[in-house]
Amino acid sequence: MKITRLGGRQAVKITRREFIAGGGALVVSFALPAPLFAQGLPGALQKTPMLDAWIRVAADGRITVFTGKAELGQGIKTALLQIAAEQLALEPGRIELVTADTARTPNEGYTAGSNSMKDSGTAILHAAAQTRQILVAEAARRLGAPPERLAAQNGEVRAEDGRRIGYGALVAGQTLHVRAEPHSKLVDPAAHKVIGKPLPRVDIPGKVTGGRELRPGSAPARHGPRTRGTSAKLRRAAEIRRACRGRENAGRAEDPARRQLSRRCRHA
Amino acid sequence: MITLNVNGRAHSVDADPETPLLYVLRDDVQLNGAKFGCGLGQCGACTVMVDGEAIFSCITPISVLQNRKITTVEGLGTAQSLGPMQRAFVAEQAAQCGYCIPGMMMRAQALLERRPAASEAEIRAALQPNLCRCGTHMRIVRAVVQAAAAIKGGGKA
Repeated sequence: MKITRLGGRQAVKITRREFIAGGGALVVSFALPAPLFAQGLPGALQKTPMLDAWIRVAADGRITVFTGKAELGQGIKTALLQIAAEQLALEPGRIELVTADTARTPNEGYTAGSNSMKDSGTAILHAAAQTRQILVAEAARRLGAPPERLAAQNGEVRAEDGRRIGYGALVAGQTLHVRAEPHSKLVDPAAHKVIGKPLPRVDIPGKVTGGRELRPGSAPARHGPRTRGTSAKLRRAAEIRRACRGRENAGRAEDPARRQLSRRCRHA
Repeated sequence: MITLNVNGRAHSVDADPETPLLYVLRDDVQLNGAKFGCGLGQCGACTVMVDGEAIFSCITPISVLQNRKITTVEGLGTAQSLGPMQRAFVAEQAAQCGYCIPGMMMRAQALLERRPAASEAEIRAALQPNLCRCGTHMRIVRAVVQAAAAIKGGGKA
Protein backbone atom coordinates (compact mmCIF):
# COMPACT_ATOMS: atom_id res chain seq x y z
CA MET A 1 0.00 0.00 0.00
CA LYS A 2 1.23 3.44 -0.85
CA ILE A 3 -0.01 6.77 0.41
CA THR A 4 0.59 9.69 -1.92
CA ARG A 5 -0.48 13.30 -1.85
CA LEU A 6 -2.58 14.27 -4.81
CA GLY A 7 -3.53 17.91 -5.09
CA GLY A 8 -3.31 18.38 -1.34
CA ARG A 9 -5.46 15.32 -0.60
CA GLN A 10 -4.24 11.99 0.59
CA ALA A 11 -4.84 9.09 -1.75
CA VAL A 12 -4.31 5.49 -0.80
CA LYS A 13 -3.06 3.25 -3.58
CA ILE A 14 -3.69 -0.42 -3.07
CA THR A 15 -1.86 -2.79 -5.35
CA ARG A 16 -3.73 -5.65 -6.98
CA ARG A 17 -1.80 -8.10 -4.85
CA GLU A 18 -2.70 -6.28 -1.65
CA PHE A 19 -6.31 -6.11 -2.73
CA ILE A 20 -6.40 -9.85 -3.37
CA ALA A 21 -4.63 -10.57 -0.10
CA GLY A 22 -7.21 -8.46 1.69
CA GLY A 23 -10.02 -10.23 -0.14
CA GLY A 24 -8.51 -13.55 0.88
CA ALA A 25 -8.57 -12.56 4.52
CA LEU A 26 -12.19 -11.66 4.15
CA VAL A 27 -13.00 -15.03 2.64
CA VAL A 28 -11.29 -16.83 5.52
CA SER A 29 -13.75 -15.30 7.94
CA PHE A 30 -16.52 -17.02 6.00
CA ALA A 31 -14.75 -20.38 5.92
CA LEU A 32 -16.95 -23.42 6.30
CA PRO A 33 -16.91 -25.31 9.57
CA ALA A 34 -14.11 -27.78 10.11
CA PRO A 35 -16.11 -31.07 9.98
CA LEU A 36 -16.61 -30.64 6.22
CA PHE A 37 -12.85 -31.00 5.82
CA ALA A 38 -12.59 -33.95 8.17
CA GLN A 39 -10.64 -36.01 5.66
CA GLY A 40 -7.82 -33.52 5.90
CA LEU A 41 -6.63 -34.04 2.34
CA PRO A 42 -5.57 -31.03 0.32
CA GLY A 43 -7.68 -29.60 -2.52
CA ALA A 44 -9.74 -31.93 -4.67
CA LEU A 45 -7.98 -34.96 -3.15
CA GLN A 46 -10.74 -34.74 -0.55
CA LYS A 47 -13.23 -35.93 -3.11
CA THR A 48 -10.89 -38.04 -5.24
CA PRO A 49 -8.21 -39.37 -2.91
CA MET A 50 -6.53 -42.11 -4.96
CA LEU A 51 -3.23 -41.02 -6.46
CA ASP A 52 -3.74 -42.91 -9.71
CA ALA A 53 -6.90 -40.93 -10.39
CA TRP A 54 -4.56 -37.96 -10.92
CA ILE A 55 -1.28 -39.41 -12.11
CA ARG A 56 -0.32 -42.52 -13.99
CA VAL A 57 3.14 -43.72 -14.87
CA ALA A 58 3.33 -46.22 -17.70
CA ALA A 59 5.92 -48.99 -17.79
CA ASP A 60 7.74 -47.13 -20.58
CA GLY A 61 7.93 -44.05 -18.37
CA ARG A 62 5.17 -42.03 -20.03
CA ILE A 63 3.43 -39.83 -17.48
CA THR A 64 -0.22 -38.88 -17.72
CA VAL A 65 -1.83 -36.30 -15.44
CA PHE A 66 -5.60 -36.01 -15.13
CA THR A 67 -7.74 -33.02 -14.19
CA GLY A 68 -11.50 -32.69 -14.07
CA LYS A 69 -11.21 -29.01 -14.95
CA ALA A 70 -11.49 -27.74 -18.52
CA GLU A 71 -9.16 -25.45 -20.42
CA LEU A 72 -11.26 -22.42 -21.34
CA GLY A 73 -8.41 -20.19 -22.37
CA GLN A 74 -7.61 -19.28 -18.79
CA GLY A 75 -4.41 -21.27 -19.21
CA ILE A 76 -4.91 -24.07 -16.68
CA LYS A 77 -3.43 -26.75 -18.93
CA THR A 78 -0.16 -24.88 -18.85
CA ALA A 79 -0.35 -24.09 -15.15
CA LEU A 80 -1.29 -27.63 -14.10
CA LEU A 81 1.52 -29.02 -16.25
CA GLN A 82 3.95 -26.70 -14.50
CA ILE A 83 2.80 -27.92 -11.09
CA ALA A 84 3.02 -31.59 -12.03
CA ALA A 85 6.36 -31.17 -13.81
CA GLU A 86 7.91 -29.42 -10.84
CA GLN A 87 6.90 -32.05 -8.33
CA LEU A 88 7.72 -34.96 -10.63
CA ALA A 89 11.08 -33.42 -11.60
CA LEU A 90 10.34 -33.59 -15.31
CA GLU A 91 10.15 -31.28 -18.31
CA PRO A 92 6.51 -30.15 -18.76
CA GLY A 93 6.68 -31.39 -22.35
CA ARG A 94 7.12 -34.96 -21.14
CA ILE A 95 3.74 -35.03 -19.45
CA GLU A 96 0.45 -35.73 -21.17
CA LEU A 97 -2.40 -33.84 -19.52
CA VAL A 98 -5.96 -35.09 -19.88
CA THR A 99 -8.60 -32.47 -19.14
CA ALA A 100 -12.26 -32.86 -18.20
CA ASP A 101 -12.98 -36.23 -19.78
CA THR A 102 -15.90 -37.88 -18.03
CA ALA A 103 -14.56 -41.34 -18.85
CA ARG A 104 -11.04 -40.74 -17.57
CA THR A 105 -10.62 -37.80 -15.21
CA PRO A 106 -11.86 -37.07 -11.69
CA ASN A 107 -15.26 -35.41 -11.63
CA GLU A 108 -14.46 -31.91 -10.49
CA GLY A 109 -17.76 -30.28 -11.32
CA TYR A 110 -17.79 -26.83 -12.81
CA THR A 111 -14.73 -25.09 -14.14
CA ALA A 112 -15.57 -21.73 -12.63
CA GLY A 113 -14.99 -19.29 -9.83
CA SER A 114 -11.17 -19.38 -10.02
CA ASN A 115 -11.31 -22.79 -8.35
CA SER A 116 -9.23 -24.80 -10.82
CA MET A 117 -5.85 -24.06 -9.33
CA LYS A 118 -7.18 -24.10 -5.79
CA ASP A 119 -8.88 -27.47 -6.11
CA SER A 120 -7.33 -29.36 -9.03
CA GLY A 121 -3.97 -27.57 -8.83
CA THR A 122 -3.63 -28.40 -5.14
CA ALA A 123 -4.61 -32.02 -5.75
CA ILE A 124 -2.10 -32.39 -8.57
CA LEU A 125 0.60 -30.64 -6.56
CA HIS A 126 0.28 -33.14 -3.73
CA ALA A 127 -0.44 -36.18 -5.91
CA ALA A 128 2.67 -35.44 -7.97
CA ALA A 129 4.83 -34.89 -4.90
CA GLN A 130 3.58 -38.10 -3.31
CA THR A 131 4.10 -40.00 -6.54
CA ARG A 132 7.69 -38.79 -6.56
CA GLN A 133 8.08 -39.89 -2.92
CA ILE A 134 6.73 -43.35 -3.77
CA LEU A 135 9.07 -43.66 -6.75
CA VAL A 136 12.04 -42.58 -4.66
CA ALA A 137 11.08 -44.99 -1.86
CA GLU A 138 10.84 -47.87 -4.32
CA ALA A 139 14.18 -46.94 -5.84
CA ALA A 140 15.68 -46.79 -2.34
CA ARG A 141 14.42 -50.29 -1.64
CA ARG A 142 15.85 -51.67 -4.87
CA LEU A 143 19.15 -49.84 -4.68
CA GLY A 144 19.59 -50.44 -0.96
CA ALA A 145 20.22 -46.75 -0.39
CA PRO A 146 18.45 -44.34 1.97
CA PRO A 147 15.80 -42.28 0.11
CA GLU A 148 17.33 -39.00 1.23
CA ARG A 149 20.49 -39.87 -0.70
CA LEU A 150 18.50 -40.33 -3.92
CA ALA A 151 17.31 -37.65 -6.31
CA ALA A 152 14.41 -37.68 -8.76
CA GLN A 153 15.47 -35.98 -11.96
CA ASN A 154 14.30 -36.01 -15.60
CA GLY A 155 12.17 -39.11 -15.22
CA GLU A 156 14.58 -41.24 -13.24
CA VAL A 157 15.74 -41.69 -9.69
CA ARG A 158 19.50 -41.37 -9.32
CA ALA A 159 21.80 -42.53 -6.58
CA GLU A 160 24.98 -40.69 -5.64
CA ASP A 161 27.07 -43.53 -7.05
CA GLY A 162 25.50 -42.98 -10.50
CA ARG A 163 23.04 -45.88 -10.46
CA ARG A 164 19.66 -44.86 -11.82
CA ILE A 165 16.22 -46.33 -12.39
CA GLY A 166 13.59 -44.83 -14.72
CA TYR A 167 10.17 -43.97 -13.32
CA GLY A 168 8.52 -46.53 -15.59
CA ALA A 169 10.62 -49.36 -14.19
CA LEU A 170 9.72 -48.37 -10.65
CA VAL A 171 5.98 -48.78 -11.02
CA ALA A 172 4.04 -51.99 -11.31
CA GLY A 173 0.28 -52.57 -11.33
CA GLN A 174 -1.00 -51.10 -8.11
CA THR A 175 1.98 -49.01 -7.05
CA LEU A 176 0.08 -45.74 -7.39
CA HIS A 177 -3.34 -47.11 -6.50
CA VAL A 178 -3.06 -45.75 -3.00
CA ARG A 179 -4.83 -43.09 -1.00
CA ALA A 180 -3.16 -39.72 -0.80
CA GLU A 181 -1.63 -38.71 2.50
CA PRO A 182 -2.57 -35.40 4.16
CA HIS A 183 1.00 -34.14 3.93
CA SER A 184 3.51 -34.19 1.08
CA LYS A 185 7.18 -33.52 0.78
CA LEU A 186 6.92 -30.63 -1.67
CA VAL A 187 9.87 -29.38 -3.70
CA ASP A 188 11.46 -26.45 -1.88
CA PRO A 189 10.12 -23.30 -3.60
CA ALA A 190 13.68 -21.92 -3.63
CA ALA A 191 14.61 -24.83 -5.92
CA HIS A 192 11.68 -24.41 -8.32
CA LYS A 193 12.67 -24.86 -11.95
CA VAL A 194 9.26 -24.68 -13.61
CA ILE A 195 6.75 -23.10 -11.24
CA GLY A 196 6.96 -19.34 -11.35
CA LYS A 197 8.88 -19.36 -14.63
CA PRO A 198 7.21 -18.20 -17.84
CA LEU A 199 5.97 -21.04 -20.04
CA PRO A 200 4.13 -20.37 -23.31
CA ARG A 201 0.52 -21.50 -23.20
CA VAL A 202 0.32 -25.04 -24.53
CA ASP A 203 -3.18 -24.53 -25.96
CA ILE A 204 -2.35 -21.61 -28.25
CA PRO A 205 -0.62 -23.39 -31.17
CA GLY A 206 -3.74 -25.49 -31.71
CA LYS A 207 -5.94 -22.45 -31.50
CA VAL A 208 -4.07 -20.56 -34.23
CA THR A 209 -3.91 -23.50 -36.64
CA GLY A 210 -7.47 -24.86 -36.61
CA GLY A 211 -6.48 -27.72 -34.32
CA ARG A 212 -8.67 -29.56 -31.88
CA GLU A 213 -7.79 -27.41 -28.91
CA LEU A 214 -11.36 -26.22 -28.51
CA ARG A 215 -12.70 -29.77 -28.44
CA PRO A 216 -10.26 -31.84 -26.44
CA GLY A 217 -10.25 -35.47 -27.43
CA SER A 218 -13.53 -35.38 -29.28
CA ALA A 219 -14.59 -35.66 -32.89
CA PRO A 220 -15.01 -32.35 -34.70
CA ALA A 221 -18.09 -30.65 -33.34
CA ARG A 222 -20.80 -29.55 -35.70
CA HIS A 223 -21.93 -26.03 -35.19
CA GLY A 224 -24.96 -24.28 -36.46
CA PRO A 225 -28.60 -25.18 -36.68
CA ARG A 226 -28.25 -27.44 -39.73
CA THR A 227 -25.44 -28.95 -41.68
CA ARG A 228 -26.85 -28.58 -45.14
CA GLY A 229 -29.16 -26.25 -47.02
CA THR A 230 -30.41 -23.02 -45.58
CA SER A 231 -31.21 -22.87 -41.92
CA ALA A 232 -34.29 -21.18 -40.58
CA LYS A 233 -32.09 -18.64 -38.83
CA LEU A 234 -30.22 -17.78 -42.03
CA ARG A 235 -33.45 -17.54 -44.01
CA ARG A 236 -34.85 -15.17 -41.38
CA ALA A 237 -31.67 -13.07 -41.47
CA ALA A 238 -31.87 -12.85 -45.25
CA GLU A 239 -35.55 -11.89 -45.08
CA ILE A 240 -34.78 -9.13 -42.61
CA ARG A 241 -31.92 -7.85 -44.73
CA ARG A 242 -34.15 -7.81 -47.82
CA ALA A 243 -36.96 -6.11 -45.97
CA CYS A 244 -34.53 -3.63 -44.52
CA ARG A 245 -33.26 -2.24 -47.78
CA GLY A 246 -34.14 1.44 -47.78
CA ARG A 247 -36.08 1.23 -44.57
CA GLU A 248 -33.52 2.38 -42.06
CA ASN A 249 -35.37 5.63 -41.67
CA ALA A 250 -38.77 4.14 -41.08
CA GLY A 251 -38.30 4.49 -37.33
CA ARG A 252 -40.82 7.26 -37.13
CA ALA A 253 -43.40 5.43 -39.24
CA GLU A 254 -46.99 5.24 -37.96
CA ASP A 255 -47.24 1.48 -38.38
CA PRO A 256 -45.87 -0.28 -35.26
CA ALA A 257 -44.81 -3.29 -37.34
CA ARG A 258 -42.71 -1.06 -39.57
CA ARG A 259 -41.22 0.66 -36.54
CA GLN A 260 -40.26 -2.69 -35.11
CA LEU A 261 -38.75 -3.81 -38.38
CA SER A 262 -36.79 -0.59 -38.53
CA ARG A 263 -35.36 -1.24 -35.09
CA ARG A 264 -34.40 -4.76 -36.15
CA CYS A 265 -32.86 -3.36 -39.32
CA ARG A 266 -30.21 -1.49 -37.43
CA HIS A 267 -28.90 -4.81 -36.21
CA ALA A 268 -29.34 -6.74 -39.45
CA MET B 1 -21.57 -30.95 -57.20
CA ILE B 2 -19.66 -27.76 -56.66
CA THR B 3 -15.87 -27.65 -56.76
CA LEU B 4 -14.28 -25.45 -54.17
CA ASN B 5 -10.62 -24.49 -54.06
CA VAL B 6 -9.69 -24.46 -50.40
CA ASN B 7 -6.11 -23.78 -49.33
CA GLY B 8 -4.89 -24.75 -52.78
CA ARG B 9 -6.76 -28.05 -52.95
CA ALA B 10 -9.85 -28.79 -55.01
CA HIS B 11 -12.80 -30.27 -53.13
CA SER B 12 -15.91 -31.55 -54.87
CA VAL B 13 -18.78 -30.88 -52.55
CA ASP B 14 -22.23 -32.40 -52.77
CA ALA B 15 -24.26 -29.72 -51.05
CA ASP B 16 -27.15 -27.38 -51.74
CA PRO B 17 -25.77 -24.33 -53.59
CA GLU B 18 -27.30 -22.13 -50.93
CA THR B 19 -25.29 -23.81 -48.15
CA PRO B 20 -23.10 -21.30 -46.35
CA LEU B 21 -19.41 -21.89 -46.93
CA LEU B 22 -18.79 -22.30 -43.18
CA TYR B 23 -20.91 -25.46 -42.98
CA VAL B 24 -19.18 -26.96 -45.98
CA LEU B 25 -15.74 -26.13 -44.58
CA ARG B 26 -16.51 -27.71 -41.22
CA ASP B 27 -18.72 -30.62 -42.21
CA ASP B 28 -17.52 -31.63 -45.67
CA VAL B 29 -13.94 -30.41 -45.96
CA GLN B 30 -13.22 -31.16 -42.27
CA LEU B 31 -11.53 -27.83 -41.68
CA ASN B 32 -12.63 -26.67 -38.25
CA GLY B 33 -10.57 -23.48 -37.96
CA ALA B 34 -13.39 -21.16 -39.02
CA LYS B 35 -15.96 -20.97 -36.21
CA PHE B 36 -19.72 -20.61 -36.03
CA GLY B 37 -20.36 -17.61 -33.79
CA CYS B 38 -23.53 -15.71 -34.58
CA GLY B 39 -24.44 -17.17 -37.97
CA LEU B 40 -25.43 -13.68 -39.09
CA GLY B 41 -22.15 -12.12 -40.19
CA GLN B 42 -22.01 -9.97 -37.09
CA CYS B 43 -19.17 -11.43 -35.01
CA GLY B 44 -16.42 -12.39 -37.46
CA ALA B 45 -15.58 -15.81 -35.95
CA CYS B 46 -16.28 -17.43 -39.35
CA THR B 47 -14.03 -15.08 -41.36
CA VAL B 48 -12.04 -16.68 -44.20
CA MET B 49 -10.41 -15.23 -47.30
CA VAL B 50 -11.87 -15.47 -50.79
CA ASP B 51 -9.55 -14.22 -53.53
CA GLY B 52 -7.61 -12.33 -50.88
CA GLU B 53 -10.64 -10.63 -49.39
CA ALA B 54 -11.99 -11.32 -45.90
CA ILE B 55 -15.57 -12.60 -45.96
CA PHE B 56 -18.06 -13.97 -43.44
CA SER B 57 -18.27 -17.65 -44.39
CA CYS B 58 -21.45 -18.13 -42.33
CA ILE B 59 -23.50 -16.01 -44.75
CA THR B 60 -21.70 -16.69 -48.02
CA PRO B 61 -23.37 -19.42 -50.09
CA ILE B 62 -21.05 -21.81 -51.88
CA SER B 63 -22.85 -21.09 -55.17
CA VAL B 64 -20.82 -17.90 -55.58
CA LEU B 65 -17.49 -19.50 -54.74
CA GLN B 66 -16.85 -21.82 -57.67
CA ASN B 67 -13.35 -21.27 -59.09
CA ARG B 68 -12.45 -18.76 -56.41
CA LYS B 69 -9.51 -19.12 -54.06
CA ILE B 70 -10.63 -19.83 -50.50
CA THR B 71 -8.08 -19.60 -47.69
CA THR B 72 -8.77 -20.65 -44.11
CA VAL B 73 -6.58 -20.44 -41.03
CA GLU B 74 -5.32 -23.95 -41.86
CA GLY B 75 -3.89 -22.42 -45.03
CA LEU B 76 -1.60 -20.12 -43.04
CA GLY B 77 0.54 -22.94 -41.66
CA THR B 78 0.47 -25.88 -39.29
CA ALA B 79 1.28 -26.30 -35.60
CA GLN B 80 4.57 -27.88 -36.70
CA SER B 81 5.31 -25.19 -39.27
CA LEU B 82 3.63 -21.93 -38.29
CA GLY B 83 3.18 -19.11 -40.80
CA PRO B 84 4.20 -15.52 -39.91
CA MET B 85 0.71 -14.53 -38.74
CA GLN B 86 0.42 -17.65 -36.56
CA ARG B 87 3.93 -17.17 -35.17
CA ALA B 88 3.05 -13.62 -34.18
CA PHE B 89 -0.13 -14.76 -32.41
CA VAL B 90 1.83 -17.41 -30.51
CA ALA B 91 4.61 -14.95 -29.67
CA GLU B 92 2.14 -12.45 -28.26
CA GLN B 93 0.09 -15.23 -26.63
CA ALA B 94 -2.80 -13.47 -28.32
CA ALA B 95 -5.62 -15.82 -27.42
CA GLN B 96 -7.69 -16.61 -24.43
CA CYS B 97 -10.45 -19.05 -25.36
CA GLY B 98 -9.33 -18.67 -28.98
CA TYR B 99 -12.76 -18.92 -30.56
CA CYS B 100 -12.48 -15.58 -32.40
CA ILE B 101 -8.82 -15.98 -33.28
CA PRO B 102 -8.97 -17.76 -36.67
CA GLY B 103 -11.38 -15.07 -37.89
CA MET B 104 -9.15 -12.33 -36.50
CA MET B 105 -6.13 -13.84 -38.23
CA MET B 106 -7.83 -14.17 -41.59
CA ARG B 107 -9.08 -10.59 -41.57
CA ALA B 108 -5.61 -9.40 -40.55
CA GLN B 109 -4.04 -11.59 -43.23
CA ALA B 110 -6.32 -10.08 -45.89
CA LEU B 111 -5.32 -6.59 -44.77
CA LEU B 112 -1.60 -7.32 -44.81
CA GLU B 113 -1.74 -8.98 -48.22
CA ARG B 114 -3.42 -5.83 -49.53
CA ARG B 115 -1.36 -3.38 -47.49
CA PRO B 116 1.83 -4.92 -46.09
CA ALA B 117 2.78 -1.57 -44.53
CA ALA B 118 -0.53 -1.14 -42.70
CA SER B 119 -0.27 1.10 -39.64
CA GLU B 120 -1.65 0.16 -36.24
CA ALA B 121 -4.57 2.54 -36.87
CA GLU B 122 -5.34 0.74 -40.13
CA ILE B 123 -5.10 -2.62 -38.39
CA ARG B 124 -7.52 -1.51 -35.70
CA ALA B 125 -9.92 -0.16 -38.33
CA ALA B 126 -9.70 -3.35 -40.42
CA LEU B 127 -10.40 -5.60 -37.44
CA GLN B 128 -13.56 -3.68 -36.47
CA PRO B 129 -15.96 -6.37 -37.77
CA ASN B 130 -14.40 -9.07 -35.56
CA LEU B 131 -15.41 -9.37 -31.93
CA CYS B 132 -13.54 -10.95 -29.01
CA ARG B 133 -15.45 -11.53 -25.81
CA CYS B 134 -12.45 -12.54 -23.73
CA GLY B 135 -10.87 -9.13 -24.25
CA THR B 136 -7.57 -10.08 -25.88
CA HIS B 137 -7.85 -7.15 -28.29
CA MET B 138 -4.62 -5.48 -27.23
CA ARG B 139 -2.63 -8.66 -27.74
CA ILE B 140 -4.34 -9.29 -31.06
CA VAL B 141 -3.39 -5.81 -32.29
CA ARG B 142 0.20 -6.33 -31.09
CA ALA B 143 0.33 -9.70 -32.87
CA VAL B 144 -0.86 -8.23 -36.16
CA VAL B 145 1.64 -5.35 -35.85
CA GLN B 146 4.33 -7.97 -35.26
CA ALA B 147 3.16 -10.03 -38.23
CA ALA B 148 3.24 -6.92 -40.40
CA ALA B 149 6.83 -6.26 -39.35
CA ALA B 150 7.78 -9.90 -40.04
CA ILE B 151 6.20 -9.76 -43.48
CA LYS B 152 7.83 -6.41 -44.27
CA GLY B 153 11.14 -7.86 -43.09
CA GLY B 154 11.04 -10.38 -45.91
CA GLY B 155 8.80 -13.15 -44.61
CA LYS B 156 6.00 -14.30 -46.84
CA ALA B 157 2.55 -13.08 -45.81
